Amino acid sequence: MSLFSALQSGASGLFSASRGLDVTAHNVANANTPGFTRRSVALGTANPIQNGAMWIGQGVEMQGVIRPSDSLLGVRTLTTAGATASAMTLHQELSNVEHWFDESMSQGPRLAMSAFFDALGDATLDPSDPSSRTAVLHAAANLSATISDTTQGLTQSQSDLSERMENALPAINQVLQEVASLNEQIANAGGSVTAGDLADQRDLLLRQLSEELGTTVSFDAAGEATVFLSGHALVEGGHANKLSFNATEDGEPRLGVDIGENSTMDITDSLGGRLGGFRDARATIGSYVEDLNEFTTSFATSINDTLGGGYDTEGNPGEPLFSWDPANPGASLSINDAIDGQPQLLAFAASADAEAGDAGNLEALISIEESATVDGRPPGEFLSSLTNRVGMDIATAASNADRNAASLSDMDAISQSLRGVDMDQEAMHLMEWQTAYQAAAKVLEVVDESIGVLMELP
Amino acid sequence: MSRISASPLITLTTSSSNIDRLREQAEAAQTTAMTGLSVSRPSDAPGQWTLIHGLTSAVADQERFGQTAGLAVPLLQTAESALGEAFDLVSRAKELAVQASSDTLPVEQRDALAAEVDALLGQLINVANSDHAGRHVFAGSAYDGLAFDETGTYVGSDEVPSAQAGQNLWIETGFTGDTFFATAIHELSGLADAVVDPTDPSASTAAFLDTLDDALHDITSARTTVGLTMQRAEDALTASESLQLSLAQQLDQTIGADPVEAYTRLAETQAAYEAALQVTSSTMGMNLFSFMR
Repeated sequence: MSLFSALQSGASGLFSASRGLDVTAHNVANANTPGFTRRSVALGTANPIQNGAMWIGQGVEMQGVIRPSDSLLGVRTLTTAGATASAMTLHQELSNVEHWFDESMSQGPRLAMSAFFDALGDATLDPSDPSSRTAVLHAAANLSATISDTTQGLTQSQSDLSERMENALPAINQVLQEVASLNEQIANAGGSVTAGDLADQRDLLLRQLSEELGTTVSFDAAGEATVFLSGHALVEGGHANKLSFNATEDGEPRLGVDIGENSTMDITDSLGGRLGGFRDARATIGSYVEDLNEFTTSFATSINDTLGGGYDTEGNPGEPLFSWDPANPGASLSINDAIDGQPQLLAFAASADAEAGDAGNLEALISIEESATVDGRPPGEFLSSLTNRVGMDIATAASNADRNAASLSDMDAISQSLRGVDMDQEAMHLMEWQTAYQAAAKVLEVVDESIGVLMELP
Repeated sequence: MSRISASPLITLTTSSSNIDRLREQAEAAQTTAMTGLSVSRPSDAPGQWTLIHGLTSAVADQERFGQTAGLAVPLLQTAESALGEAFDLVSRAKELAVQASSDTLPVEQRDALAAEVDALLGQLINVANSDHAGRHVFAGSAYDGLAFDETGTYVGSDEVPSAQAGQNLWIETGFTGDTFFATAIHELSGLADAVVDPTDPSASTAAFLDTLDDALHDITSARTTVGLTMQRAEDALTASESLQLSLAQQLDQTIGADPVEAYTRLAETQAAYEAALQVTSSTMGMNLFSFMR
């Protein structure tokens, strides 16, 4: 045993304190880096040496840099992130179309329909009055424009959602490829510090994938991540399967994953995350369009048929008031060109004599408001029911989004408590390593002086 | 046990999320205070839109019913006034018939009476053609034309026009003058000839006394009919005003916001939002590094 052993122990302390400072500095520097996982230094005593009957310690040994992780928590967080992104997207997209049903300013379909019947009711006082008839035509034009604009707006939103799904794919395929590449790099890096930084990068990308597609992940012993979407592997080791976009004849977006040999597997129904939210929002908005189409066909047919049974001011059989394309009823609803601007053609009279006060057919038109003409319900009740459904869908989506976001926030907090950089703790580590460094330096100084004393002996 | 972390990332995320939520609440409170409406979008009151739409439509309906009833009243007043005049004219004709039924009446006076009866007939036809703003109230549904021509023949419609003044209430806004005035016109026309009947004017005239009573009875019945219709119109007007007020109050209770509550809520949410901003700003930069020398 010599003083040189103490010198060695002091040097090991100096070295480990220096590495501790390095790691602390790395943590502080990356405190705001998204996805960064804090590191800590693992120390152990160096193997002692035997000196006669005694075992003398040889200082400290740095055993590695630790990156804390909890794979179960990570998987749960990813699942929740996907569900949250899906719920928030659905809420956002449904909220974007809510204004079409804003009835508070008398702009929505339901109140436009009421205004039409109000105009018919006003006309009962003097069915021959041109101004009353013109008011009926204006109210009908406003109703058809409201239904048409609403349906077109909703259909446009559906197209936008399909387009956004398609546009999202190149970036998602890029991320899948990057995850596969990082898998390879991590496997090649073994347990090095580099592997930790790569894992941080991959965790970020996995989170991104989960938020986009609702994917789940499993990790193998080598640290490679396999990315799944409802049992279909999108990334396996260093290989990523490409996603592709197709649309059905009626414009419904379909996503497929490449499974080799020029074939793809449809994964649209398995989608979660933002794209799943797009899919759900598109389907929900589509159901609103279907309702408006049904309303248009039933209501406008009923009005036109009733008018056909009456007579205009000249005693001629009534012209239809509304026209539409059967393939696209709501969006194409408009006033019949033959009657537009010609209020005298409105067939309010029940008799071909067409006396000025003959409101027989006008009464029949008014009675449609209370008749079960649309899906077995009065037209107003049908439209109110649609508004109710829109409100209910958005409120439910908001509630789901809030609940999932709260859950994700909790998980992120737990994850950060495990992985995040705590500045107070790092400040303490800094002081701890500084003190350790100073102490180790002092040991070296004392040993050096002691050796110096020995060297100066005559 | 989880580690309590002062990670700047989680602090930032949590603070940002809280501030976002408070800002949304403040904006919602601002909208409510500005519009006076607690319900402005379907999602504000899911499940209540059948009620809200029903109330909104009902308020508009009652306003319309009130307007219709209000416009029907002057038409009916014109009809009632005309029938009053007609009653007076026929009553005067009966007085003349009584005078003319006397055996001692000189020929000159008979001629004068005949002329007055002729004049009364002309006035009666005019009254039967009464109009309100060009609308002939006794011409039935053909109110854009005269009810009677100059000979006293009914040329109006047999259909009665009516207007909607309630959900299931239709009020007549015109009448078929034929049933009201036909007897009176016919009798006055005959009376004018009978008064100057060259064979036995007294007896001829006396024969009209009973039929003139029938004509007066017809007019009295018509006045009752018109009076009842006007009563219904006035009742409809009163009911619509009352219902409109009541329904508007119900609608306001359903979608309206209490101003005091709205402004209090606005002040609360704004204060909470500002406090959250201040707290975030003062805590974000605070950690042990700040105290190291």
